[in-house]
Amino acid sequence: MSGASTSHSPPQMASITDVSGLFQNAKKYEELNVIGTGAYGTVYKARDLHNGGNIVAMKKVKVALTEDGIPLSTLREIALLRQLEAYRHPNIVRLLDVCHGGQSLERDSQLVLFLVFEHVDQDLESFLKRSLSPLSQNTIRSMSFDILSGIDFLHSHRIVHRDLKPHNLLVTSSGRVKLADFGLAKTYDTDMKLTSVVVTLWYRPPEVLLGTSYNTAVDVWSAGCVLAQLHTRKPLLPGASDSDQLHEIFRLIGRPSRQEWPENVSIMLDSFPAYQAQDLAEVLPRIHPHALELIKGMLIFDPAKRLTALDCLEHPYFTDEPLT
Amino acid sequence: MKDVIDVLALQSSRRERRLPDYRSAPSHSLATNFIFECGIKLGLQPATVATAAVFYHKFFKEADKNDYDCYVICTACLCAAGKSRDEPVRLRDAVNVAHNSINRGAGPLELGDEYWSWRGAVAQAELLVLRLLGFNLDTPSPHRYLLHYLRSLQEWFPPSQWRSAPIARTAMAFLQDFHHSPSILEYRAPHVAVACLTLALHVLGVSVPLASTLDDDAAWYSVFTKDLQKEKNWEIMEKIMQVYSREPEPI
Repeated sequence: MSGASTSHSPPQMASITDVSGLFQNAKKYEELNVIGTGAYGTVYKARDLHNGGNIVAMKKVKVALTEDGIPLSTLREIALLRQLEAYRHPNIVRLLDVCHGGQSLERDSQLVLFLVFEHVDQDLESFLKRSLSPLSQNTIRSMSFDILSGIDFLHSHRIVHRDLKPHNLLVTSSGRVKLADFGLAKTYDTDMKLTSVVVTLWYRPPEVLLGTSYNTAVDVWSAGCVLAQLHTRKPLLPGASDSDQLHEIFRLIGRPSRQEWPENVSIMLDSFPAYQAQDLAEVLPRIHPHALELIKGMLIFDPAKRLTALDCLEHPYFTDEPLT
Repeated sequence: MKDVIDVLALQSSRRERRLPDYRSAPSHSLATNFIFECGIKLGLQPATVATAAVFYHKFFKEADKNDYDCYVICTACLCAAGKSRDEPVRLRDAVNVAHNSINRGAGPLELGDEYWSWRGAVAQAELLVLRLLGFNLDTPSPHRYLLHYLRSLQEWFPPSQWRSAPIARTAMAFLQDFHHSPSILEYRAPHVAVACLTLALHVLGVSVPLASTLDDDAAWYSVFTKDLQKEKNWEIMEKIMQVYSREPEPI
């Protein structure tokens, strides 16, 4: 700094180091209460003071500053979320603002970021718990379509959600479903192999449980589990542990053949009994035949043979009759 | 051997003399020159350097120019642009390049107080820039449009005519230089690209084949962008030319 300021009248270090002050002066949000805490941060309900006291949801994310400042991955992830926002997709939760936390930013300290989202009163989990009778066929169909439209939108922007579950699918007062919680959403590089602690157990696809590389198909599997849950209002594959989850899966769709079993997997195919595929119609009674066929296509062991989100949207289940 | 060294020394001293002196320049008058010089020294892609300039213009559209040190913000814009375009710059390199450009002939900074305060200031400024931009880092890239238009035009021109004038190079140079002006923020990327291309053709005295056979209100570039009026195109071209008249000290 001193170099830049030698010939400039007063050195302007003060205004630079006082960044935090600037943010605090512009207080925009008043925190109300904690909505939830997850592995990736706390979510608060807050009031937007500059926007007529609108209620918003603020996700607090702690970012470790590297020696080169804000990490590139974090920066790109936030920029990507901002970029997506420009499309205002109806099935994606609105990201209204991104701000820094107000604490001092010491050298090599943490940066607190607040992602400000629109506030939606309930998620699909509580929605399903609260509904006393089964959902109507129309509701199920339109919610299924919403979920898949959101997923298709993310996939067409090279984003894999990786953590789809009823808990982060929000249900608006008019019954539309919006995808939320991209805390772990990443730009998609071909064939990346990532940690397995990503998807909530019950909605985890076999390729994640087996630790092989995975791609957009993981979201389709998770959505398949959610769609089935819309019909029965209870989880389709409630496994108790990683291996139990695989047993649950193979009990339902049958143990894969030796040709289908991926290479370089530490778990042997023979460690599973030779389960025969169950008839999904028995698991999901009274389901529309098209819906059944769709879910079957989403719960295929081989990710390459699984339907894509776009395939799903073009399925007769949605196209035979117009959506209301 | 001695002669070679003499020539090199002569060249470098001549080059040194032509480089701007940021310390004596009135504040902000050379800000974008500084971004371009440092960006080039850091080996960044032209589009990344241009992004940094866009960040700078956007920042001072919101902030008061007297409130922040121009060169610290410029350095921070380069760092942020590098990250947003997946071409990260080491903070230490950025600080040293900036320091050395301001203090010509100075060596790398010692790891002392001066270094740490520079580094702290740039890191803070980067966060400030991000905040002021609202993390909207996806700048529309006129470079891509221009490249696409150039490729298409090249097919349309007879090869000999295309080779006879440096159309692509000139248009790209106009585009890059236009980033010295905050006016770059006012126009859509495809329009900027068309204006750079049109201006290059005018300057080089080249006309697009068969363009004269078009109706009066049709333009050859309507295949690229439909909503650019001729007046608007002229307006952008004038803004581009203004960059050259107001440049205080050419690099």
